[in-house]
Amino acid sequence: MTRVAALRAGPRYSSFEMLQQPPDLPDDQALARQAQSGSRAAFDELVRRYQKKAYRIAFGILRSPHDADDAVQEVFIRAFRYLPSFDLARSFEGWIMGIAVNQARTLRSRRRSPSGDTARIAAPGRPASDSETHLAALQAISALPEKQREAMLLCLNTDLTTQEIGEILGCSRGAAGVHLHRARAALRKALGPVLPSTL
Amino acid sequence: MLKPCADLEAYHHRDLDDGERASFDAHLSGCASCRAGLDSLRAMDDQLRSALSPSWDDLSGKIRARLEAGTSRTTRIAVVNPIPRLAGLAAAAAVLVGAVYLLSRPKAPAPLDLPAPVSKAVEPAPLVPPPPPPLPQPNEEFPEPPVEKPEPPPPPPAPVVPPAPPAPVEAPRKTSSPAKTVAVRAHVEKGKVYLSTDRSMVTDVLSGQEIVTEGAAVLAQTDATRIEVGPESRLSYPDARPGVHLAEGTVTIDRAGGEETICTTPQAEVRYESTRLSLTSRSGTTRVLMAAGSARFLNLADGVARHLGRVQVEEDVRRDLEDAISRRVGIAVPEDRLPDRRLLHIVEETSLFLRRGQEMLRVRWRGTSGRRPASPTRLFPCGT
Repeated sequence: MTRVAALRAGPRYSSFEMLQQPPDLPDDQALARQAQSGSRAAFDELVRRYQKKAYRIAFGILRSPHDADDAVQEVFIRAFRYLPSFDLARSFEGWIMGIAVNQARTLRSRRRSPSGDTARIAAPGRPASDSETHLAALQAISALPEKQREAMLLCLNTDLTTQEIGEILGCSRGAAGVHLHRARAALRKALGPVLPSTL
Repeated sequence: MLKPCADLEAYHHRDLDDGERASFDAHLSGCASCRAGLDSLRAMDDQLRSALSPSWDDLSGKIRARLEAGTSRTTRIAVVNPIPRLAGLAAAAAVLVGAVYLLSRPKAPAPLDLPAPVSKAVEPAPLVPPPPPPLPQPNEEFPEPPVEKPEPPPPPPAPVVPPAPPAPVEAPRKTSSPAKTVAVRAHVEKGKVYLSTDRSMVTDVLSGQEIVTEGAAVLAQTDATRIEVGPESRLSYPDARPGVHLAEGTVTIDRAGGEETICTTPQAEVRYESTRLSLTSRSGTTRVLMAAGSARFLNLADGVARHLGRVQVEEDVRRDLEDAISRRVGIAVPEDRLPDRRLLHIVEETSLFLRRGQEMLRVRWRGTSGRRPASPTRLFPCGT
């Protein structure tokens, strides 16, 4: 499937996921149902599907690879524990990302002094110019107000709708849209010199 | 009315319904400005996603290892409604008083079966010994939530079963494995219905897995052990050995004799034969109060064992704060297993913070009754 075809396939899938996920895999709800029935393999598949997204969300909030690692493990431990209470009528992605955001917030408040010094965050394996862009993007997104930052992270890394993002953030769909709009404007302003071709 | 050019971000954010989206798709084909804007948004996202992408390791193995290391699948915690229930609850409690259950515990975990009624029983259950004088109560760690106090509850209803001990012996039940059978019964004392107070109700019995209380209850075991279970407690009967596991809450165990029995908590293990003790497990802390007899107390964190004598001894074990948190988030009880759904709050959000050097857990609850505040907040001190 080409990238363009993937983008036109529908609003529920980002180009990133569509290019990676074969079409004949069971959907999330089927896996969640199996996992609720005790299938560890189904739960493992859900972990495989969402751990990277959860990691990116956690990393964006915590700004520490180690903390993000801890947070993601805890996210799925809790998801497993509370899976029986998951409502199959809901989006599994929305549910797991809600846990991820809450867990990252909890861990951040527990750390008390979040690792806000983005300059300390290593970007191993990246070229120097790429690393510079990485740090600039991290600093720009770190400078956003909390809701804007979380809304942007969810928008960038998940397939959630604005409505679902609003539910996770505890605000309305309209408010979530406003958070996203303001976040984009702030990022354009901050990252213009670094990413001029697109911003 | 959709304003195509103005809704570019909404389109990009998957914020349009199917009709609006189709309309916008049609508009896109004829609007170069919107197409350019959309391309710019997508390019911006791609750039940001790429720039913010951290180095990342597959965590599946670690997660699987942690789950296999014994993460509990018990998921249900009944949360007490601090507002005393009035007539409806009193009536429900009165009905519960008459309820006596025999839990025949299956060898394999069974899915959420209600306990079998005792009417099928065949073998006499031992009488409950008269209740001993109460133990000194451990300090209440959780303060009452800041909610308005309604008028006091009405007097307990007339007991449905004869009030004075010996309580009516339920029809016994033939079991192939008596060691795995435990009688759970409502307790009636001096005309007072033990479960009839506003906070007393055995809310959920998970077959072979866990017993959850909202209020105090009494478990009269077939081996003549009497266990008073405090409010908001969770306990289970492990298959492999005699004794109980207290996941959270308080139990007061009164045991006249017999073989050594083990009561465990997430942090500690207490072995006893003939004793009277109170065991509390909350906020990652286990506390033992000895009233009679002796016990061996093992701190599971460091493996150090202590002998507790006749005098009152307290022993605290502190565990990782994460455990205290994980026991209180994402909690739900199936509504169809609740006697009164208005009793239920569901934890909605938690956060941990430091206040004057004390770690505090803030929990926001979602009320299920329209007559109460929508999202009351409650603070719990963490640890000792």
